Amino acid sequence: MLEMFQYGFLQNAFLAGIMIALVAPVIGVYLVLRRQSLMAETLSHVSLAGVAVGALLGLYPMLTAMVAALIGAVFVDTLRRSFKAYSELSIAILMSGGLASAVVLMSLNKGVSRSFTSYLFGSIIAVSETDLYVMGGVVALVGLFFWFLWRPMYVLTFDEETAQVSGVPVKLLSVSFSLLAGLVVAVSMPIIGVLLVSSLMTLPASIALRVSRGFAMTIFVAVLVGLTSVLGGLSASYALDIPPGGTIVLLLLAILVVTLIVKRIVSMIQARVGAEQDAENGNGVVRTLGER
Amino acid sequence: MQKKWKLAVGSLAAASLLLTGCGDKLGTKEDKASGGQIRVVTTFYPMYEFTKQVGGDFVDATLLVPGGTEPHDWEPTAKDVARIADADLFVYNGAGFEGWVEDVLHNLEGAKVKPVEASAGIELIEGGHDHDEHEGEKKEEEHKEGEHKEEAHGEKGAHDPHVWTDPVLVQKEVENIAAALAELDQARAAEYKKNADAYLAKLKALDEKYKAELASSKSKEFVTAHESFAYLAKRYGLTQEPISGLSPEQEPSAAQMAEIVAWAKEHQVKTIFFETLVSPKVAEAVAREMGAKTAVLNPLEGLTEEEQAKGLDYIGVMEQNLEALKKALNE
Repeated sequence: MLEMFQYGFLQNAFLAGIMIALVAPVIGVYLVLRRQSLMAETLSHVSLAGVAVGALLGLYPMLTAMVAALIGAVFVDTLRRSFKAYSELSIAILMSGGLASAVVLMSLNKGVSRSFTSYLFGSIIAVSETDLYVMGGVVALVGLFFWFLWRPMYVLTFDEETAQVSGVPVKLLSVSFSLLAGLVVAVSMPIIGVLLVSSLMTLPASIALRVSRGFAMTIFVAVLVGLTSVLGGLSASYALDIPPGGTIVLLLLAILVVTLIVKRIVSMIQARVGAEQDAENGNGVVRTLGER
Repeated sequence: MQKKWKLAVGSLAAASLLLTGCGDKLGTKEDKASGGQIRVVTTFYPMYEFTKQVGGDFVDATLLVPGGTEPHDWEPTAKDVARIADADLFVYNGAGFEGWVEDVLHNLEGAKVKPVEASAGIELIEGGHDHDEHEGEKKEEEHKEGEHKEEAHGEKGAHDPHVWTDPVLVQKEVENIAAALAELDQARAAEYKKNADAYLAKLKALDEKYKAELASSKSKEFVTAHESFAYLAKRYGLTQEPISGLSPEQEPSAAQMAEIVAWAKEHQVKTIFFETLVSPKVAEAVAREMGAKTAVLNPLEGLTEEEQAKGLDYIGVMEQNLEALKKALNE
């Protein structure tokens, strides 16, 4: 197993994977709770357009992807407000817009460069040191954001009205969070691909919501699931010679299925045991966050 | 209640252990060097063929792009990159053909593998065919002067990398590969020189054959599936009109299709060429539009399993191409 770490490019890939797995699931939990699970999908399509611009102008693609994702994030937030009754519409509009501009921009590039498909499904073979530094920066930014704004973000996520009343700058916070999500998507996209980046955000969140009680624990479990899937997925992808992005997502799905089955079994046992216990101490049914 | 999530986390850990466990077994099956051979990893078919021709039994050559796969859009997996890192020599065409090579080599700095760009030292021509202009010669002159300026604008990879379709330019590629092998394995330098000379003689004969048999052809224009025969066309005074761009991925727009059809009619082209590794649907559409035939002109970006089974090699396919060209140009 360890023999694969002798290769510098795989070390880079694993470092990048770990960094993505640390932040993407955190953003994912908030996205899911805010009913925005498709936002990551949208932002990844928009950042693909950014990559296309970068390839065309000969700029660093991760940078142009970030700029595009930031612009996309602002649009998602603004459009969400203008189509209040149909808030998912903004997602549909931006997703198709992003993909359309990406396809047209890529066709303008006459040379034979890194292929379109490698961005759709991700590529781990060419993570440069610059990429790692940029990712490190984004991870640090996410850390700082939640370190200082943990409380207001919590209130905003669960009850936007209460947040407004209690003086949280709702609009500003909401936009900053979208921007942060955009940055995370833009740095993850070249590695796990446009089509799969949102799964690394929403799948760990959905697993964590199923098994955790309490908000902090949900975040913790989501990150743990993310790390497990990324490290397991990258190793399996190397060992079996299969694409990394797809492997990671399949692993996540497997974890989700196993979790659901285990949870069903556990709750069946508990119902039996619980019935006896309830009779003794009158304790009610335990609710997890996911069942809210 | 704590038990509940501990169980969940436990099962996750077990699942990941299981997966990494399987990985371990498969991972160590990696083949290692054998019998003092030089391990050479090559990108696509002509590189593999030239390396085998020069290296003979002294090299253990691996072909990355599998047979029947179109190499333009191919990307290595992590394991492929590990194979490159573990090899002694890594032979690629370069000139932007394998778009991923630059990034991979950047990441492999410090590895012992020695990269060889086979097309090094070959004067490249400008690619990215512009369908509006057909005075190839004139355009080329202009491009030579404007080259540096355009590159400054970041038009990266707009050079045509398909040098291996020219029997003369491939001689330089063979020489480059031979030089790299000789430098790495000086004890057998004479052997490599002998093999290379024998193969170069065959390539020269191929060139003579092309020259002789194409000189008398009635027309000079031919339509190819993608822009892959520019060097061959230039060498033998022909004009190539490609349907797709430098990569078969770059399909023409409707307006470009119309121009190609008009051009082909004007030059009374009777045969539209397609390739074995790319879907012939666009070439067929053009042929249907103008009532022309279709035939195979193989840009040697890879051999299909059928071609391999027939025992075809670089020279064999180039001879087939010559027959196909002769037939098409003399109708």
